[in-house]
Amino acid sequence: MILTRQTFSGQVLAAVQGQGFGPEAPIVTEWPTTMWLTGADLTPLREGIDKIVYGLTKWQAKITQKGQISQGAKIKVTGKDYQNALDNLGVMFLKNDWGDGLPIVPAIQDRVDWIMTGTDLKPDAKVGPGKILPKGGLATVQACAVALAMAGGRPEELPVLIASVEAMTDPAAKHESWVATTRSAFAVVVVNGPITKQVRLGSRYGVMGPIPKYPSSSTIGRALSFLLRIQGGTVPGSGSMAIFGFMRHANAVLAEDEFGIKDLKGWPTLAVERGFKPEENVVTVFPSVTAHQTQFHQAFGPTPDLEEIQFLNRMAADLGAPGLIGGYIAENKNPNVYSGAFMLSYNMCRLLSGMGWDKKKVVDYVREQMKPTWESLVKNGRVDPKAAPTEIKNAPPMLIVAGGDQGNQGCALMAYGNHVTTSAKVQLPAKWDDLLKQAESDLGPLPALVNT
Amino acid sequence: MKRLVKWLVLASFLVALAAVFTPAAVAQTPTATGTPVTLAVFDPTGAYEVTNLHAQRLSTLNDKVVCEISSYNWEWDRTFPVIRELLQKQFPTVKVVPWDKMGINSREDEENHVLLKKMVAEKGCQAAIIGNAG
Repeated sequence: MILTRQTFSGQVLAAVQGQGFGPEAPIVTEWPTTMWLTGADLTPLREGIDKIVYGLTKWQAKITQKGQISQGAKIKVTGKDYQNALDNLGVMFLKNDWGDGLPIVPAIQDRVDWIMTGTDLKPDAKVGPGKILPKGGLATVQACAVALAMAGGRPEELPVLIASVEAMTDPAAKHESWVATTRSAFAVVVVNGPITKQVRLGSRYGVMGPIPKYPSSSTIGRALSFLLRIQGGTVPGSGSMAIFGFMRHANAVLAEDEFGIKDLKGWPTLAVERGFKPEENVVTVFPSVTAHQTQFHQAFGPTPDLEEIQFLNRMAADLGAPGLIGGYIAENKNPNVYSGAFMLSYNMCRLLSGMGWDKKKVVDYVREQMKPTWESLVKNGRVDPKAAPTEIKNAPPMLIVAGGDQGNQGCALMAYGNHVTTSAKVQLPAKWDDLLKQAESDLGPLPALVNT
Repeated sequence: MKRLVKWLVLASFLVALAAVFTPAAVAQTPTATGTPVTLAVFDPTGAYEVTNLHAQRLSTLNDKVVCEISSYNWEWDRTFPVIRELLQKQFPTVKVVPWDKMGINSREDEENHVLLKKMVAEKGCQAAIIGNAG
């Protein structure tokens, strides 16, 4: 018997399914949300006790056998002509809470087969632990290919999507928490390695997308959204209670600007920093609750190095804004826990590097600056004002990612709590070079980065 | 005369052609953009796996042990006592183990799951109320 508030029953139901129980649970749904607030009137609970008794004594599950349940391989949609069939497909997707309001590319057999040429894995192979939570729809290679087809993607994007799903669903990341929470988190997917020069992922101007010259950021991110919504059940107001729901169309999928920092000492790429080799293709995923740009050129320091300190102070203030209390009060012992990320334009990285700052020095300095006073925590209601002040620890380190274009700017990707960041290697198919040739034939040569 | 007829025929043909290819006419002509189409697309919901079955319900709560498992959220300390009181009123011999006697919460992590199983067995729970979710 599970008690939840009205409007949250869909999320709880999805969570129950994600635990392997199938899409049913004895949940009382009729109690108003206001009943769960501090000091609220509990009359509805008193009047609804029979519903609890029903859940404990009478409710019967319809699913009585364990096993895999498939919802059917194909759906037929008709129309008086092709455009009309497409329109009908879009309407059907919206009615089933699968769509996102944009046109859907039909995932017909031929298109999915074409997308599947992006991998040598079998269609029914599970990706990572094999489930997208909270609802627990199976994360198979075919599910990824279907989602990418619907998103308008291409085969060479499939390995990146598969690796993104693998990293995101790593149990350490607890994606079931951040995709379902009220805190409106979205996935940030950072790609490193040679593949960043092969697949059209944005890394500079407008890096958070969409960028017409780098469409893969949008299609991979949209496919990830489809998987989260359809397999994971994160329909707004049902499986996801994100109040504002940032970046939910296509998340933030980008290539780190490796070229921009390649000669900088002490500025390894994100993947190298996380223990991978430069020649490995790696996807790193972390949740963020919003992105905020911080400008450098409005600093008023009398000298350039003081201006940099001022810039970093502002970045620390921006990144430290959300609730990172766990990191401040308790000692963080997990090396994969981060308190958000900085995205720094390559010019900013170069400027800092020229002044003797490397990544580690920046992180150490900013962590120190992010540390709040006990009084500020009391003032913001973050700690019990009656409690004795305790030592405030440094926040966990933040990730630094090179991205964005030539201005001296930074972007704070605010943390969702103290998140665990996860990575996965990208597995390329044997005929990878053929796929790239085809992409070049279809889309034209890869656009050159500006100012390189 | 022949020339005039030719011009009239040509003019009529052009008028008819213009009528067919105005946007409104195109929209009203189903065959202008093709014939009826059926798209067979993959069901995007794919599949899911049932690995656990819900427990059988109890026929009555009398003489049974019902355990409260708290998330320590959303007024749990006010709602559980109300539920307890009302259950005991309806089932006089039910034994309710209050949330603060379970010594656990509904937090989602492996360590807690192990403890939860242990406490459910130790307290002899035959039913559980978990709350408050949200």
